[in-house]
Amino acid sequence: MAMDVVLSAQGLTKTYGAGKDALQVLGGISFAVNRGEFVSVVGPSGCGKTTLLFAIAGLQGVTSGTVTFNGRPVTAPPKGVAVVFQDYSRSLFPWKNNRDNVAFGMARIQGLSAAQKRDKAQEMLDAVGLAGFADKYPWQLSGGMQQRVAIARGLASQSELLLLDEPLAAVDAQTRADMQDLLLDLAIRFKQTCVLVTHDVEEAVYMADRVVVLTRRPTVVDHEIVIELGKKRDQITTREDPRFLAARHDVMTSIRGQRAHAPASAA
Amino acid sequence: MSLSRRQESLRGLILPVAILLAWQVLAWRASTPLFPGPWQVTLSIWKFYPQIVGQIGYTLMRAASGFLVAAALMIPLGILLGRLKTVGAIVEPIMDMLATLPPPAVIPVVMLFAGTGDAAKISIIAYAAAVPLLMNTYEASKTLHPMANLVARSLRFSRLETMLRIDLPASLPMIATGLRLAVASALLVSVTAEMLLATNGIGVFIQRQQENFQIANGLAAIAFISIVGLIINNLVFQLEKRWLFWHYRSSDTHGNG
Repeated sequence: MAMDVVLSAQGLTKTYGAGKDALQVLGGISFAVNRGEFVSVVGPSGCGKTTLLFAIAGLQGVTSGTVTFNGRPVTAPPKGVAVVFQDYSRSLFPWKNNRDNVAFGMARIQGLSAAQKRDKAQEMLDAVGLAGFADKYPWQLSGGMQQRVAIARGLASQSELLLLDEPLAAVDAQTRADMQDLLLDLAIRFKQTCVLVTHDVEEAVYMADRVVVLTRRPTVVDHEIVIELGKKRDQITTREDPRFLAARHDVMTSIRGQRAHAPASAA
Repeated sequence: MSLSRRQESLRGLILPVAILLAWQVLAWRASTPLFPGPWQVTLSIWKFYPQIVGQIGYTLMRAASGFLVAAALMIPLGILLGRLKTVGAIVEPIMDMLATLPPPAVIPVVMLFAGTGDAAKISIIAYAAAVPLLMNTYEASKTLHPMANLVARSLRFSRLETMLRIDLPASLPMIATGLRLAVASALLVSVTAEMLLATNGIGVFIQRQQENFQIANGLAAIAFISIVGLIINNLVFQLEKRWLFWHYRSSDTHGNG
């Protein structure tokens, strides 16, 4: 199978501050994402997952190392990359209704008329199951529904790569399971390449074709594990599958071990 | 609902009516033209209202001009300063200093440079309206949540686009507060400026009447100004409710200030 690399990170380091107060968060992270792949990035708490995601999104600079998207170095948010943030209530704009919030994702897309953007926004709201809520405002929706609007905005921007920063961390458990399946369905339907950053091991394994496991600070890639469960997942049967349990065991062991260790020296 | 609202507005009338009655009683007892009662004031309004309306026209034109100049300059400046943190921090002490300076105090200084014509008056009014507008816009823009900026950048908005499409609407609730203060300030200072250096306007009318001991006529003009002020305030509030409904969504207790 010919691998078409969409995103590649090489030796990313990030140090906050300088001198005595310097805090090295990223210790040299390298990994790649192929077109059509769903990659989960999971690591112990405080290992700089959001820093890493912001770096590959072009939202934050790194101290050293390079990010390339479609072969081009990333220095600012590139065209074709969309981000879904954890804080959905602040990432949507309260003065715009849901349709206009989704259409905002297409603000910089040329060659679409305002009417076409509206139609596309409606289509994306339909896709996330919010067909009847286009004229409502984000603050009239529950948290899970707001995050679905944010996902619709990400999808609407015709992104080649959708970056998800703990998108389900703030929703209740039942909504979270529903949204995991929704995200998987959308990823298949739109052949969307996704990178999901999460601290939830089960979620990381359940969602991904491949899991990138991080160490504690200064963070490097501990190992990667391919999840051989096919694209179609199911909340009950997938989670009982021996391959799921084995992968979960592997990742969990790595992360718990990281927690128990004394601070490792930077790679 | 409509009954309780009517009861509420009736209750709101108790105090003003009581004050008017007490005033009238005191005026009867004093029985001098230097202490006219509400009845004499009403007669004065009846007699002078064409003149008062005409003079208020001048006053409002100048107040509106000064206000518009201030809004057009200070809202963009406030947004910009809120974004440019370093520049904002340098300018902030000056803003705080100007905020405590009563606008009428600058009238003589402005006279030195701009004379006593409309340009001078409009400059003073603009200055008075500028202070609350700049302070509120700057504060709103400065305290915007960084998330809005992250979203803007991930949507690949330019700086200008971010300011226009995100910072401005997000700052509107606080800008509205600044606008209300600016309207009040513009009216206040336009009347004050007229009393000091105008040839027309309601301020001049009031001064002339009072200099001639026509107290009732002066009070008639004052009553007119308060009514106009009330109408303008109500108008601003209605616009706010219409444009900022998304901001007031969680509190329906927001009263008409």
